[in-house]
Amino acid sequence: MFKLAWRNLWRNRRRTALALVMVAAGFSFLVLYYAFILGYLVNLQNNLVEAFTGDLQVQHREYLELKPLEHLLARPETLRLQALETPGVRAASGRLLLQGLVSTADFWQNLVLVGIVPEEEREVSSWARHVRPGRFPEKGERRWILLPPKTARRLKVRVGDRVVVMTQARDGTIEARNFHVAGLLRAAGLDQGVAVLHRRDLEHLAHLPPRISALYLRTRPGVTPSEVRQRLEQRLPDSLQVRTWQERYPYFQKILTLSRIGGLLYLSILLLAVALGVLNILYMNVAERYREFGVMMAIGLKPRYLRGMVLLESLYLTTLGILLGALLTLGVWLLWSRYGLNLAAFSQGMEFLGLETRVYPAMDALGVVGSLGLVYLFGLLAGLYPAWRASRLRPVEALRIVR
Amino acid sequence: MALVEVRNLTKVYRVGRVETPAVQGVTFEVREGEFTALAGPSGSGKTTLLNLIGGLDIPTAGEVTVAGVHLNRLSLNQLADFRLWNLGFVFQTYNLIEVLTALENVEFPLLLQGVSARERRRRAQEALEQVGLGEFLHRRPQELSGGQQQRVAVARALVTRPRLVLADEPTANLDTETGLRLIHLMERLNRDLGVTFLFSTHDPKVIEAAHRVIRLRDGRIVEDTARSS
Repeated sequence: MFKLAWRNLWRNRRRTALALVMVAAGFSFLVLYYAFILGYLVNLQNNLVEAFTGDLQVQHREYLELKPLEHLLARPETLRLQALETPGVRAASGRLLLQGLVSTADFWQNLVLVGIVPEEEREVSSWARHVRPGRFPEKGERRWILLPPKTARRLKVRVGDRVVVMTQARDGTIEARNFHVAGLLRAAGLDQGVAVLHRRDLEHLAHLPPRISALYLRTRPGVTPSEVRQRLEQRLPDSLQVRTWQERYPYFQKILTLSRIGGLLYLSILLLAVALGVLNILYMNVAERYREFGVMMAIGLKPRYLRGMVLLESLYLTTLGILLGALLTLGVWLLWSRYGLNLAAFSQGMEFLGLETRVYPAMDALGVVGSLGLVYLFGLLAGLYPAWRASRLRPVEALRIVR
Repeated sequence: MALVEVRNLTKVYRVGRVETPAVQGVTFEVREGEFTALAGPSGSGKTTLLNLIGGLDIPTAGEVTVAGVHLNRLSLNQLADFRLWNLGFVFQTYNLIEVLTALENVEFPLLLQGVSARERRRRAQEALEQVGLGEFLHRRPQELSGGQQQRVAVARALVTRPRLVLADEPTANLDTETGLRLIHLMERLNRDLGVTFLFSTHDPKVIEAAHRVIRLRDGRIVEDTARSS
């Protein structure tokens, strides 16, 4: 029966070849498109982690963004060193986040003021690479501010200009000081509502001793953020909370998961078109053999075996198509992973946001199982109708068909 | 004892509101080992009658019993099984499976019976040798002449050692000489193996070769004559 189904497949070589190309192209497209989505998301995730979230964040348990002056972390340097001594931690940077106002003679804007130490931040985020025009300050420089391009435009300031930064100090007074614009910061995830300055300057402005809102950490390659989190929790006091970036920003994780599933759903609609093509071919293959099916049934072939045989043909076709598609995919994959796919030409916004514009293919279990599952599902669905039609034939009716 | 019993068998085809009776109240018996021809002009109901006896079609009224089994009472799957184990078919247009070789075509019913590969091959080869095609085992149908294809079909019908072979106009697509050779082959197999043959034909020369002739006209039996062989 296996041999028979196999040979039936090759009765009309051109037709089968066409179906194979369709399945192969469908499978290959599915895998590569998924790899693109995933590659894009990995890229996006890396960018977000680099530019915004870090791998891990340490905060006071009671800390609330709405009350930025309460529950700050004291002795940031000690805490940072403690974190750096923890195996798996590659870099750490303390940031102090306060509400404030940046103004010129004519314009002003509310912002979140982010106080950093440049030499710490250089190791943790990609900010130092994304200052354009202007430059990221060196160690020891003070009284500078980095503004997002949109904010700079709104305030009508350029690199080198002076702005006034105001914030409410711990004692309730309002403090203001001059800062010069060192550069425009174009990092992903940082919107126009953020300005970056030296932490000491910000502490000074807010009448604070050394304090940070959170310690941002990067992990070493090969360890997962959650492994490092466990080690940190053992070392740090109970009042501190360590969270991975996924825990800190669960909606990012949700967006990433939804995008993957959404990608597969979208692709399954495309596959439906491929399946209809294969259905047509299989159906033609079956329709021209009704008489032969009549003979087989007259000899004693049971309808369910006939159904099985036609389904087997579709299974062969799908498997062969997948193998062919896998070869095609492999070729494209090798080239793609070597050279990457530069999206800069299609999306200037990515570069503007500070995103890496070269996307490399990526794959995960969902992608492999999903692609194989979908192609087999649609392949078998395409075989189901012809198989059902064949098995419903009455021998005498099938025999009456004259070719 | 009767191998085939046909009682008041009627088959009416309906196309829309038009009813066409193909077989009308036919009753006869075929005994084990007979070599019987169903004769008559086209449209006389020969093929329909063979289809009903073979369980390929369902009668409108009446009963068919083959080897003691009432075919009317079997489901489609049971009918398929019954045909597999008790009947052999030879069709007018050979109806071999074109992607299989002569040997594989003959093996096919044995495959359905679940016979082992080695035994299948041995019996199929033997059947093809019996019909004089020992040299053509690995040819595909399109590489064989009409007469050779029909002999493959006979070998396929006989390989399961059925009790009854039903042949529908087996010589109709063959020239007179090839047709007669085929009928003599069937007659020899009937004599040597004791297989019962019931075949339809409208060819006078083939009718002459039959041991018993049942003549049909308009779906009714008009004559039933036995001859000494």
